[in-house]
Amino acid sequence: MIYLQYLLVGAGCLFFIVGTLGLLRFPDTFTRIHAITKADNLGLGLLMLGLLPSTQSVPQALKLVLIWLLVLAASATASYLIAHYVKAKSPDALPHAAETASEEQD
Amino acid sequence: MQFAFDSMLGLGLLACAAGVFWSRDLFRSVVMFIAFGLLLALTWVRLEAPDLALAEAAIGAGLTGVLLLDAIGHLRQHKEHSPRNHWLLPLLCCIALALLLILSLNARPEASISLPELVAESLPESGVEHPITAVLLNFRSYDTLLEIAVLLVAAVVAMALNDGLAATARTSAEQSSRDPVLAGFTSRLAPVILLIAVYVLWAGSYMPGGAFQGGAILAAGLVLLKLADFHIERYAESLLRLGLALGFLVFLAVATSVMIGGRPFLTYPEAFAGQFILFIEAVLTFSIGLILFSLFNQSPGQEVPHDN
Repeated sequence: MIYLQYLLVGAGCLFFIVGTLGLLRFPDTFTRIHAITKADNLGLGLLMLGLLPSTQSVPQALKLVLIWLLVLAASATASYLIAHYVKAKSPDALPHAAETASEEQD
Repeated sequence: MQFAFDSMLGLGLLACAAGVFWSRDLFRSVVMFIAFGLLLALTWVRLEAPDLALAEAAIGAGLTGVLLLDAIGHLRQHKEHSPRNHWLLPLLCCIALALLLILSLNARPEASISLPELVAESLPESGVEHPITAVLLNFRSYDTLLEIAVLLVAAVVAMALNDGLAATARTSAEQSSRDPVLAGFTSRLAPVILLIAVYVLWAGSYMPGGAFQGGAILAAGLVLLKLADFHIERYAESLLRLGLALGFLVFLAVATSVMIGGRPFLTYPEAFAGQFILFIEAVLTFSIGLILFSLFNQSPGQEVPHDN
């Protein structure tokens, strides 16, 4: 069991590292959102799954799941808002256009 | 392992503090400040002061961060960025403060009475099981009474300064485009926030929590609703003003009504102390939430919608 937990937590951390790397290296806002939401959704989910067997009681486990669900909802909404704002600011920017990188640097 | 975590935390705090001062963009500074607040909350947890951690996360990082972001939005409109090259004086002040703190750590006087023991001894009389709640609302309730009075005065001053401005913004920003996703998310989250605020208040009698933390969470929920274009403060403005003062008034009424029975000001009868404290805390939570929210609500960031 403990090795499974190590594996899950390690995979979760890997997703966070990859997500952060994407946030730093990707060219424009849309791709950055794409990268960082992987960290929030999958990374935190894997961390939570890895920590679940260590919980002492059912309410504690439920609280962990609740944290993950709340972060899921919040990060989805926040990513949508950021993407919406960028799209409204420059309507011709296609989600995969790398040329918009310079004007969204601010 | 713990040492590694602690040193990472300390280094992270220093890095965030440096980021606040040295980033060129004001927005970045504020984001770093919020990150600094969250790391500071974690530090309080590591120092086994979860009450402080709750307050720091809710007020220091959350509400102050929102207020600062709001102020930046306001500054951008007026293009009046303050010059950021005045770093010598703050640096000198910081060094002087740090030196004083280090010196005072060395020359720490011996406490004449041991307060923790005193609190632990009289905890059964206080009506609650958590020492910090006992200190705040029973042994040193003077402080709490004055704190809520100060908060109330701050909110009233903000309202007085801002009355005309808020009135103009109110008519102009009528039913702007409410984002469906944000509105849906916020309306589903609001009951959860309310539940957590009440839980933190209730938990305050036997574990970290209490009126100020609960009130800050309540205020955060109200700010979120406000940002999502639910103009809750418009539905009942007179009720809002009453609610601002309710906590202080009820606290004062309870504090003075015990004098009828011949007790000194602010001492509760021991049999009912627990109920008295819970009642006062409930009203305080409500008022603190409203006061913090109305401080945010009074900030002149409201001008933004009708400029666009």
